[in-house]
This record gives sequence, structure tokens and C-alpha cells, in this order.
Amino acid sequence: MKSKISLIDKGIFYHDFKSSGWLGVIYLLGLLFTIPIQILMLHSREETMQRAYGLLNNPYLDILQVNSPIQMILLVIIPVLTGMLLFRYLQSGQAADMIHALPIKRETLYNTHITAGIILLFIPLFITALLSWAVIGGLGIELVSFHDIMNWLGSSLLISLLLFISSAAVGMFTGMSSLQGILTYIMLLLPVGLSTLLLNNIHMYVYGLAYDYYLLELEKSYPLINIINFKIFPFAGRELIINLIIILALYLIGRYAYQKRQSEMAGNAIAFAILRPIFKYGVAFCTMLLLGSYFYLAQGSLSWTYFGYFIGSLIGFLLAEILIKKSISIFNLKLLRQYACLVIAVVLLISCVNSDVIGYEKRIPDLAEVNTAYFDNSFYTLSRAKDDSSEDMTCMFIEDDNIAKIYELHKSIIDSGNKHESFNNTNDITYSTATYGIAYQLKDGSVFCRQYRIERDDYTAQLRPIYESREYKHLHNDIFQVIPANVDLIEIYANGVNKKVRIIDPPFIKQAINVLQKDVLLRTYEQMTSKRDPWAHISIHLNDDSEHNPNLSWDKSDINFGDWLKSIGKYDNARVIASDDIEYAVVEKRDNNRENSFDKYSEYDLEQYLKEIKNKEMYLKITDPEPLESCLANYTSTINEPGYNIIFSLNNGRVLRGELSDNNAPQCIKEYFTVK
Amino acid sequence: MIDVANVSKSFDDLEALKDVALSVNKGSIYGLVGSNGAGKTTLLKLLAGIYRGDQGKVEINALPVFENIDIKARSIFIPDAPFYFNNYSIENMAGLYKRIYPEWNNTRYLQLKDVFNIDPKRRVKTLSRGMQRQVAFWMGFAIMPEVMILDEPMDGLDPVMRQKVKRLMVQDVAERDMTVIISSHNLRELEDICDYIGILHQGRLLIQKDLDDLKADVHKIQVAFAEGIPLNLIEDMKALYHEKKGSVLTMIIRGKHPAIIERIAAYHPAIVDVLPLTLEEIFIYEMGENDYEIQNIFD
Repeated sequence: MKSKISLIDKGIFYHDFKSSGWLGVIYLLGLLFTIPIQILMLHSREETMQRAYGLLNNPYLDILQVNSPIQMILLVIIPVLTGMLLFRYLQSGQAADMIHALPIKRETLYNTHITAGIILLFIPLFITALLSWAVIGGLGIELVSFHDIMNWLGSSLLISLLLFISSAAVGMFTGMSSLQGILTYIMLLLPVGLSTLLLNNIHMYVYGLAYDYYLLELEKSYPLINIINFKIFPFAGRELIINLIIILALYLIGRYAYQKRQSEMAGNAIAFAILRPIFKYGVAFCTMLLLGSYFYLAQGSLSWTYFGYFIGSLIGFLLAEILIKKSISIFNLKLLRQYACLVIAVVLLISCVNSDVIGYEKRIPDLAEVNTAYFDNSFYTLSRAKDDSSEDMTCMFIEDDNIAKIYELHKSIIDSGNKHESFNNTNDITYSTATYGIAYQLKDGSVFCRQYRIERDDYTAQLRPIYESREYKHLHNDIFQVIPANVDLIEIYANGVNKKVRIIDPPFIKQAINVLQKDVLLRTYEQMTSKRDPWAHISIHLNDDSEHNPNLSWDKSDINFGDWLKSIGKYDNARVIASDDIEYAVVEKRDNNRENSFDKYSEYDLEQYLKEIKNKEMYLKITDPEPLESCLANYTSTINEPGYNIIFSLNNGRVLRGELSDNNAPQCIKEYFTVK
Repeated sequence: MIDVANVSKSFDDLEALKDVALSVNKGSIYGLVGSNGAGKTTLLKLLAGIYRGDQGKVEINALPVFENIDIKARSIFIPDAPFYFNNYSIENMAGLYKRIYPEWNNTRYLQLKDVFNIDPKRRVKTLSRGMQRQVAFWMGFAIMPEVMILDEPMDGLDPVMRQKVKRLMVQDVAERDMTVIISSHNLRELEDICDYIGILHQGRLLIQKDLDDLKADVHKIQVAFAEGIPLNLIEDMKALYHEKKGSVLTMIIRGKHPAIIERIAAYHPAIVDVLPLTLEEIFIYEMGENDYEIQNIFD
């Protein structure tokens, strides 16, 4: 007898198409409805579309970017279903026996199904791409290029392949089709999901964990996210190779597992006995983290978190055991002992993390080792900086003097002791709570990141020199990047009223930028952290191709800019003016111990509110422009000290609302309420 | 031909086969008998290359069966409940087997149509259980196997069909030297076609015998003595079983026929009679005091 070992078996290959071909047909029909037919439909109502979208948007590209949920569902579900269907026989005893009695090697079987699946999934995609191309060519739609279609095709092929191979590989490890589908999605999301859960949980115990930084990095580096976002081709190279390597690895793992898998495992949750404890403890651990984070986020307390851990681990542990045993009568002493072991391990783990065995909380690099220091309210610009595509300034300090100030702040936060229990609690946010990300680029090239939520008032001494440094102001204010010669137009939109100043003359533009820069440099720490709404928003239109137009504000502390506006006679048009724009203001004493009626009303219910306080006769109505001006200059969005609520009713029918502290309130208000 | 030596197989906590050894000669029909749960199906699935044993060797033609496509191409396994794909007609099944089994004989497939007399266009899933089993035999004979592995194959077949299938099987054994291993929970069903019988009980092979040897080796002797039964006769004859009724003694004795008669003659019996023994009796006496549950296989 001659030995015949082939890559695929013709009989099984044919059988796969006969039994699973319908899925490919559904896939094709679904894709045809979501792409070529959508393009046709869009084209036939193009005129209305163009009016709606204008020229900026390209509705055809939306169709090709998987914004349609049906297309996303097709792409995410059909490949996994294909894997489930082709390997269905493995999960049913009789069918598995029948196939495995045939003179075909297991490797050949696996390769045959994989090949059949790839063809089943790829042919509809190719046909769809081809037909879309034909439709676009036939209708002469110029908004879509051949490259756009190839981009769609490439991404779709890659997603289909990745999901299908994952589904096939997962199928080798389980004996139940339903579990195969569920576990496939869990496996694909596990790297990001588990890391996020771990970060969420460690975050509760470790003060200073650079949580947002790790999350941003995770999101950037996980390849699946990018293909789901259909960004494959802009990234091409590296992303594509990583995905192909993952696919190859999954294929090989699946093939190996099939060869090792016992035919009789059909019907079992986990097909390899050795993996069952891993599955059981893994599920328990994940549900534990999940419910722990849930209760922590919802309740903000550690006792609720521990409750979540207990319930979560118990549910996960029992569910996994029920799945493995395929029975709900699982309770015995052995199981109790196993769960007790898990509890002890988790308690040990939490106490290790909590007591900061590795010294994460206290660690700080030597100042001499620090090259540059990053300091901002988030890690966003740091994380984006590596993409090159970012247009935002990265708040990276290079002046030694300022690095030392940041280092000083960092040290005093560490020295203040571990305050995370109160400050990680979302319910404790006050007006002075602020989050800071600190990162050091060290001389050895590594990055040291920490993130803190602190009460700003506790660190005024350390924060003030940083905020007031020239470098900080340069990094945080777009105005310093503006070159007057590049500016076409400056527009100043007054806050609250429909007033606008346009500055077009180049000499004025130059002056404006100079004055704005001067004002920013003059701002004090208190002014920068005050919650006073600005007078106006300033939009600077550049004449280069960049789409990034600096946006800044005219703060109430920016005296020089106001003076400059006066000098060119535009001042009254650039901000709300009490005598011109305000009809009256209503002031009510704010009682911090009692629920303020003010807070109950949204911006649109204020009439109702006015009616209510008028009934109570506890209010002061101001119409005199002079105190109104003073109130306008001083009201803030929030305070946490005794003061007043104030509502300005504007002539244009709108309102401005805010609060006044006792110190900033004009004399007439204080007197009125003292008498009362 | 078929060689199984110290094979064990467990499913999780259940030990289905314990140190089983078995051998089947080419061109013979081996009957594997045992009650439900004895391990028959497990053993057959090992022989069919479906299961991988935990230990021991499972060989056909001196080659391991598992993942050996040459051996599997020349053998057919018919399970107790054959599996068919949805929407497959008999023709479709034939098409699938034709693509997969290199020795597929289409002429034979067409000839067998007359034997089984089922419309090949019918969907197999819509057929009755017995007819589905006939389809399994139909396909099985058409691939021209060297080895047939049959798990409780006669269940659900009517008596006429049983005879037809048995005749086809015996024909192939005679003409092509096909080897058959066939399991049943009932010894009588196999009595008329098997050359060898093996009895599997609780995962162990209790006994394995050539039926011809067995029949020639065990004898049921009835003797009567004029003046009472000699005291040491039963011990001397090493009777597997004896029963006294008055002066008549019935013994089951192992040994060659002439030698037994000669030795009994020494005691001068009044009458010596050699009675025929059924297969059932042979096994009961062979296994002696062994488990009482084994009796099941004779019911």
C-alpha cells in the first residue's frame, strides 16, 4: 500500500462546502446589501445627500468604513460561526467518531476545514469588492478610489481570517459549540480586558499608579483594536505583520491541539483535562476582578469591593465547575477546599499589592537621572507624542529648574503618605481635586510614570512655581506657537452673548498675539486655577494647510488684552457688558449645608427656579450696571465656600449662571443678605 | 492480523479497559461478547483508530492503527448507531466514501443495491433505524475492506436481513480473506458465524477461545454405575462440573474425547454416554465460578 499524505482531503473539502456553504451565501448576501446596494441607494438620492453632508463629508467612504452595524455584525459573527460550523462534528460524539474512523489524518482534517473556511469567507469578500468596484465605476462615483476599496477588502479579509482561525483554534480546546463561540470572543478580548481589569483593581490599592498611561498604551498596542477600527492600511507594515504572526500562531496551536485532542472529548466544556483547573481558577479570578471593579466604581468603597470579590469569585468558580462537570450537583468537600485555597491566594495577593511589597509607591528616580519631565493633567499628549501624527504640544519640560520643581512636587506627594483610600474615591471630588500625570524620561531611555489625584490646595506651594514658570505657560498655551505672519484671521466670540470681533489687519493681528502672550505670562497660579468663565473664546485661523487652529480664551485676568481691545475700539463687542446685555441678575444666599434649590434646575428650567425663589422672597434682584459688572467679573462656575448663587438674565433671553464667594461679592449683596 | 496487547483506556475517572490482550487471525471472524458497559465499544473504537489508548499496542498488520491512514483505508467501522450527515442521500454518502476510500468498488455498490433494496436517492436521516444500519453495511461492503469492525451490528435488522448480511460477510471472508471483529451482548447471535469468541467483562478480557478447539475440548459425559459412583471418580476426572441423580452422574470434563472415555472405562461404568454441549454451556463451565453477571450474555 502506498502512503498518501496530502494537505487537504478532497472528500471532506467537498463535504465542507456541501454542509456549510449556506453560511458563505448568507455572508455574500449580507455584504452585498451593506455595500454595493448601499452605494446604489446612496447614489440614487445623491442630491439630497449632498445637501445634507456638504462637501466636507464623503458618505460613500462611510459605507466602506464599517460604520454600518450590520456590516460590523457580519464581519464579527460570520467568521466565528464558520469556525463553529466546520468543526461542529468534533463537539458531537457520533459525528466525531464517524469522521475519525475515516482514513484521514487529523492534521489533514484540520487543514481541510481551515482551507474550506478561508475560501467560504474570502470569496464573498472578493465578490463584494469586485461588485462595489463595478458599481462605483459604472456610476462614475469619484468620491471612492480603487485604493479605498482595496483598503476595505484588506481589512475585511484580515478580520475574517483572524476571527475564523481564532474560532477554529478555540474549538480544539472545548467540546461544546456554544462555548467555542463565547470563548473565541473572550480570548480575543482577554489581553485588553484582563489588563484593564487588573489595572482597575491594582489602582485601588496602589497610590500613584499611572493608570491612564497604561490604559492608553494598551489601547495603542493591541492589534485587534486597530483592525476593528479599520486602520490596517494606514498602518500597514508592522500591524499587518503582527496580525499575520498571531494568525499563524493560532493556526499552529489549533493544529497541534487537534492532534492531541481525544475524540471522546466531545461534549466536555474543556477538552484537555490539564486545562480544567486553569479554566476554573481563571474564570473565578476574572469574575472576581470584574465584580470588584463594578462595586468599586458604583459604590466607591473598599468594603463593597471585597464583597464584589467574594461574590464574583464564588459565582465564577461555581459556574466553571458546573460547566466542567456538566451537572449542578457539584458540591462536595473537595470543592470547598479548592475554593478556600483560591480565597487564601487572593487574600495574600491583595495584601502583597496593598502593602506595596515592590515599593512602587515610594519609588522615585534620582533627580540626576532625569532627562526630561512630563507634567500635565493627563497622559494624553505623552501617549500621543509617539504617534508623530499628534498636533498637540507634549508637556515635556526640559529646563532643569522646572524639572526640579516637578520633582519637588512629586516628592512631597510621596512624603505626604498614602492617601489613596480617600482620594481614589470618586465621591470625594471637590473643586480643588485635580489629577496629574508625571513622567520622567530617564537618561537610560526608560520612562518612569506616576499619576496622582490630589487636593490642589494642599500643594499650592509646590504647584505655584510650576504653573507660573515660563516653560509651563509655553507648553500649555497654544498662543506661543502662533507666528503672526501665518495668521489669516483672529475671531473673538464673546461668552454668553452673540457678539464677535474679527481681526484681519496684519498689524493688529501681530499686536493681539503679543498682548495675549504677555497676559498669559502675567497670569498667576490662582488665576490659572480659578473657575471663572472667560470673557471670550478666541479662534485663530492659520493660513497654512494645517487643520489645527489654536483655540484660546480671553480670561478675566487678562487686563492687557482688554486694554488693547479698548484701544482699537472693539472692547464692547468682545464681551458681555452689563449695561448693554444684562437685564437683571438674581442673587440667592447659598447654604452649603442644605440642598440648594439652584442645583436642582438645569439651565433650561431656570424660569421655574426664578419663580420658586421669588415666591420665597429670599432673593435680591440687581439691575444697577455697576454691581452687575462686578458680579460678572467675579462669578465662578463652582465654589466650596459660603457664598451666593447668581443668575444673569440677558437681554437676548439667555441666562448665565454661577456662584459668588463672600469675598468677591459686591457690597450691595453682602449688605442685603446681612440685613435679612 | 489484529493484535492488541496490554491495552488500557480510561475516560476521566472511569477505567473502560484494563490490560486487554487480543489477537485475531486473518480471514477469521472474531466475536466479542460482553454485557453492557463491558468495554466492547471502547475496544472496537481503539481498533478503528478513533480512540487513542492510554497504553499498550493496538495493531493491524503489525502497524499501529491510530492515525494510520493506510490501515484505516482498508477497514470499516460500523458503530451501533451509525452517524449520517444532514441532507445526505445514500448517493451522496457513496460519493463521499468514493472520494475518501481508495478501494471503493462502484460495481459492488451498484450490485448491493439489489440486496438492500433502498432507493439511493432517499435522505439517509429519513430512513428507519434498521434501514440506516443497512446503508452502513452497504457502504461498508463497497469499500472492499480487509477488516470489518462491527459494533452490535445486528440490532434492529430483521431476521431476513440478518441472514443476508451474515451471508455477505461470510462470503467476503471466504473469497477475499476479510477479517471481521464483531461485538454483541448476546453469545447466541454470534454462535453460527464466529471462529473465535472473546468475552469482555468490566474492562477485562476474561477468555478468548477458538470455537472448534473449544467444542473438541470440553465434553459432557453421563455415566451410570451398577453399584454406586466410585468415590474418587469426580476428583480423578477433574470435572469442571458434576451433577448426581441417583446412580447417574453427569460431568463436564476438559480433554480429548478418546482419552476421557478410556479413563472412565477403568471404573467399569454400566453406561457411558457423551452428550452435545451448547456454546452457552461451554462458556458457563469454562468460566466456572466467575461473575454471575456474565450469565447475561447467554440470555
